[in-house]
Amino acid sequence: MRFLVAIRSSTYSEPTLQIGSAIANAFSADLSVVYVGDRPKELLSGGVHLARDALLNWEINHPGVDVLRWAYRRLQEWKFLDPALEQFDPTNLVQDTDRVRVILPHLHGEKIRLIFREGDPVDQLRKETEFRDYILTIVGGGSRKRLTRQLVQFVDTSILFVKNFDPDWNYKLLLCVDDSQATKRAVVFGTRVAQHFKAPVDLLTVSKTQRFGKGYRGAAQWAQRYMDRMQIPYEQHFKTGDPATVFAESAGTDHIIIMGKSKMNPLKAFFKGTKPGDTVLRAYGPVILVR
Amino acid sequence: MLKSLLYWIYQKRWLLVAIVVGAALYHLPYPEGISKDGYRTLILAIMVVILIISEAIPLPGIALFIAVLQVSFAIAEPSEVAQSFMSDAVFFIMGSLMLAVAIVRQGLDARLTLMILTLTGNRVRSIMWGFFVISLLLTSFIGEHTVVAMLLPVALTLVRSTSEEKDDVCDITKLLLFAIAYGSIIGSIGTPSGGARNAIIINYLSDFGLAKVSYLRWMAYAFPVMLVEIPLAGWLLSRAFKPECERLDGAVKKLKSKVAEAGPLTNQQILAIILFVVIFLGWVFFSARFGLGVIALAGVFLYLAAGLVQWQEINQRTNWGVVLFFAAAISLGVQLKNTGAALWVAQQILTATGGLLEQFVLAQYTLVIAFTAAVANVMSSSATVAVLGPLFMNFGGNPVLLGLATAVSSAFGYLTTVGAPAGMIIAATGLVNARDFIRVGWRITLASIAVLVLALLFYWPHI
Repeated sequence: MRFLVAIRSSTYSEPTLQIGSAIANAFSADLSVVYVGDRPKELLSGGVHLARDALLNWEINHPGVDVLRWAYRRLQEWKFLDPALEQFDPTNLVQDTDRVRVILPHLHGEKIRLIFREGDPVDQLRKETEFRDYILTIVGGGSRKRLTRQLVQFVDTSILFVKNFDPDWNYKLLLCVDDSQATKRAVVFGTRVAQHFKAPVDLLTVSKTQRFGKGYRGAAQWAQRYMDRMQIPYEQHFKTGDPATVFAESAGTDHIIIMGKSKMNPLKAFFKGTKPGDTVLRAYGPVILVR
Repeated sequence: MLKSLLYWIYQKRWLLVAIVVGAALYHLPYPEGISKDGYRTLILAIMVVILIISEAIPLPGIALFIAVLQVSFAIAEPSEVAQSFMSDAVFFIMGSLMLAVAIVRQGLDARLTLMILTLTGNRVRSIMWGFFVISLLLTSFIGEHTVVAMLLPVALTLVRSTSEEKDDVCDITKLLLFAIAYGSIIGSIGTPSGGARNAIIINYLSDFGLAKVSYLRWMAYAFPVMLVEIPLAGWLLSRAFKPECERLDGAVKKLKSKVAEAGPLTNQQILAIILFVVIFLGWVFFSARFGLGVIALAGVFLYLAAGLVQWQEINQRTNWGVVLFFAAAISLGVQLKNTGAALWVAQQILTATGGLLEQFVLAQYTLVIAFTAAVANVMSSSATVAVLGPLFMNFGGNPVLLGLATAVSSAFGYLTTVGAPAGMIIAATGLVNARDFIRVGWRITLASIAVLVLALLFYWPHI
């Protein structure tokens, strides 16, 4: 099982990396950390490459390599990686077709990969998830509408949006249950997270009308039975209103929202957006969309 | 399947917009006063501008697109298109890109460091002026990306020796990086060899039969403008950031000792400097006869023949796509002139302003300069000149002066990271951001526009 954490700077990406390493630990998953930076305008890229070569002669690395080195050290501090391991070597790089990989000889094929890419974030994450088989992509932000919607729609993995992360991990889980195909996978995923972090669970089903249809009731019952079977303590709630708003308001800042990814018609999803995408935009805390 | 298609459409939306706009214009009734070829060239130019700004396809793709559509639209015969792809300006772009690789690999950056620090001492503001003036003087003769590539490591090493924490030296870093970038941009105005845009305008002026501008004649026009900008821009830059400390005693000492490890100049470095001086003298005294491009290529030949650089290095580090792109862009510019498209657009603008631009030369000059500067900040300087040059030369005034003004003002790419190679390079360090460019750039842009307008009004007509 492989997870992908996308980072951009040492200043803003610490919560993303922290939650990414914690979740990867919970699932005993391998972790790939990808830095996605801006690509220089092609017309001017020759000068940038020339300057980068000159900078390397003065032992000044590509900014992306510096961010990856920071991530590596942080993972050692958090004991995700053995602190006794060798130091990161910024010159040990391998160029694949459209990505660069930092070689970690002592960790070959294990637990961690460090990659840097340049270009449009959605495009690069999509390419990275096509390049390797990732289960979950972990990204920061979730406030910019267009970027969030594109990530939800075009990155073909489960996605965790890290918003307003609490490093002390005082989180409960809010599992959003409805009649969509991905709900069951979301509940199973949420159960695993709850077991690892010993986090209390709230099951929430939201209907736009006062009436809860057969599909909704059936899904809620299935989730209830699954929680019982896995011996997870939970509370079950039924609310009415706009689902994205109700999920966000109910979760507040102290819940991680976990819900299935939409299977809506791509064209409709592109122009209208989806319930998961809108939930991410309105949420006050982290959201996991399970594919 | 549908999702992948949707994604492709989204990624390529600007290509599709360019095609739809092009197709729509092609099938609309043609306006009066412009030839069929001219109108089609104009359509092609509009599509190309959309593609350059959006980067919807790679640059070499745009170059091929221009070649194919010139023939498909029956604007020119295949052999004519092929011929228009190669000119002295293209040779110059090719040569200066290769020279940049050859010069940067000589390791002269350490020497420059010693020179700068010996001149400036340890005060931050003096060091800023040192970087500013040295990059400015060097870019008068070498391409700006070459100079930035040599000075950037020095500035960053100095900053890192001051503090490992980026936040502790944030404003010093920005001050030094902008000194190098803006110094390089301003310096590139002064001589024809300062940038590709200058060579492109000289090429246009010559090809259109308007004037043969020699190296020294260009300097007579542009060097004084550059000299006036030095104190103005330097003063504005020094006020934009407040350094965290006044002196860099420890960092300068460390850097000097690091540089001293390199030892005295090697024979290879001395030869590299001599060859560059030869190339420079060739540009000054023989470019009127041989062309800037041929002399630049002769320089590359000398570096290769002397074994100062390997062909493999040049081949790997030269962006040949850029050469191909400029070949196509210049070819398009030539067609804009030859087909009368540039003249027609200029006339439309003059008519639309009710003759105001013809009556008030100040308004005309300000529009040309400000518009070119604005477009350069979006599309980069050389591409802007390639497209706008033929247009503004038909703007009613003295075409030579307007052409030169277009070239000089296209260098005012102070506002964005994509306006000039120097800006892009310092932005790629991740230590300055788009907001910083606006913060410093707007004042220098306005000052530069004012200086150039004054030069156009009161100095250039008397040369």
